[in-house]
Amino acid sequence: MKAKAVVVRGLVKRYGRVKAVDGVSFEVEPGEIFGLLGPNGAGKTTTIECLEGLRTPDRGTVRVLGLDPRRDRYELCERIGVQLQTTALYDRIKVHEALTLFASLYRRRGPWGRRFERLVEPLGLGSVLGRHYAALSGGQKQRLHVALALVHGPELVFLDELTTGLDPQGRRAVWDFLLELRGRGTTIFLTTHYMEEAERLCDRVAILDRGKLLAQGSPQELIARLGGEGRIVFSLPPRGAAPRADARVDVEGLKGLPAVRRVERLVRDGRETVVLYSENPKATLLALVKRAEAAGWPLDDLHVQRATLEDVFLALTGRELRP
Amino acid sequence: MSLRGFSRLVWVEALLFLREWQAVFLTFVFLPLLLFLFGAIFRREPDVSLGGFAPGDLLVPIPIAIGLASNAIYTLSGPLAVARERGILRRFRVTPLRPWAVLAAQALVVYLMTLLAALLLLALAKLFLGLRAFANPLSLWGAFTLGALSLFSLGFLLGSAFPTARLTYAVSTSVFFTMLLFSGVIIPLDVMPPFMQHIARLMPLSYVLDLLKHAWLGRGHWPWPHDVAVLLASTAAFTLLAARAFRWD
Repeated sequence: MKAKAVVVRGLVKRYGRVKAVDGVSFEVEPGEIFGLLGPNGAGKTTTIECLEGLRTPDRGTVRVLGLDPRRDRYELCERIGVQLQTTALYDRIKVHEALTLFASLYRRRGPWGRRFERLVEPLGLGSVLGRHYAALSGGQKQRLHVALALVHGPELVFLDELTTGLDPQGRRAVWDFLLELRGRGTTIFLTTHYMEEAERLCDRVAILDRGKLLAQGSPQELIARLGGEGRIVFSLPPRGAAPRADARVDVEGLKGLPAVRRVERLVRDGRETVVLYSENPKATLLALVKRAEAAGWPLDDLHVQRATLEDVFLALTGRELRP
Repeated sequence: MSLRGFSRLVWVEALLFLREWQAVFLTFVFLPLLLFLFGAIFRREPDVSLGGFAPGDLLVPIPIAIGLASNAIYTLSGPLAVARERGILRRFRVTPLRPWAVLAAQALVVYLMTLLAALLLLALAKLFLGLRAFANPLSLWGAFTLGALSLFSLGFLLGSAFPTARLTYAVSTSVFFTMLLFSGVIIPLDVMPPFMQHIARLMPLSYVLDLLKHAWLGRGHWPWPHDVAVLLASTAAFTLLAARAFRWD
């Protein structure tokens, strides 16, 4: 069996009296994409910076590629790539100069070609190689920092909030590139508060909230642990449309449908919307349709949503995962 | 970290220096202007009162000393604080680059640029201000290098000691102008009232200028071994303090 890429045991990091990270343990397998998930302030950046050797843990042990990030820092730095959440480069450095400079700092050479074309093209930087850092857009800077993390072809990459500030197109490009990298054996460790990113990219995730690890597993496992939960959503007729009195939806009564755990009523785009949380969406849906047919409810915009990591977080903390 | 990495870093730092028009102007335009300004003020033929030296001989150490001081302040201390504040140093910290390498590359580039400016000043003084004496190039270079060591380590200390870039610039600028005023670059030490002479003793720039004069003219305000000792001691002290105060973020 191959050695673990990352081992964290009982990690504690305090800032003054605040425990930013409070007894966190997890492992990352080589070759997987591992996501540390949580809202802002959950302790994600502190954790990842302990792994990168930027911070010294107060307690617990951290091993990255079998090395101690503090003691073996230079050896480790040769083998990992890092994209920091808040960072910058000199304003007047050109993109290709930055790539050449960072590439020259490492013993190993990346598989990207003489002019880094296999790195910059997929990340959409090919047309800005001669541009000064200060003249790049926020998204281009972010993609350059991803490129710099990968420039030497590291075994393990740390990406802290990698798609913050990227437009949807740039985000897709970066995601596709990371999936391709994993295909070539690179281990990827990322933090995000963006659920779609985690579901799309990560083989396994760990959910962090207020410095504590709440759950870990593959996104599918965590969702399944909710009990196959799904949501059935439909809209009520607009107010004033004056439906026949007997056709008014009996929202309270929907709690009695099979497998329903919770009924939520909210206003979305000015329409009143009903959400049924069900442990067995199929059974609930059949019963709902039968009842609606009998009562003559319109059930506008009826659809079923699978549970998401967002729901997992909500179920674990009772709070929405919003920045 | 490899030699390849270090030399690439030096190359990039040199490009960045040349793209910063303020630094280029200060080093290669303003210092020569200063030389000619002083030359216009002291326009005299070599005579007994000048000890047989031409005006250029007496004047040329001044812009060289000012160049060392201004580059130590404006291209080392300030930009170091900015690089820290913006997270540029942090980014280097997660590479195999050693911390000293970042500073050494900057110091080396600024040293070479200032040396280039000094050669330019010598050439201009020779052409237009009637340079007579030509000191032993080796001792001139030694005096220049010792001055660079002391002032650059002061620059790194100032660049590391304060929490924000704004504060760093404010303090560094005050230090710079205090040094100009009290180091004999504007008012010669010999004509200073005693209280100013006492303050002058605290300024590393006083000894830099004095040592340059020794190397160039063979005479100075203090004996040259005194200058050398003070500059070596201040380099050691500033470097030690700068290393202790240094932060990546």
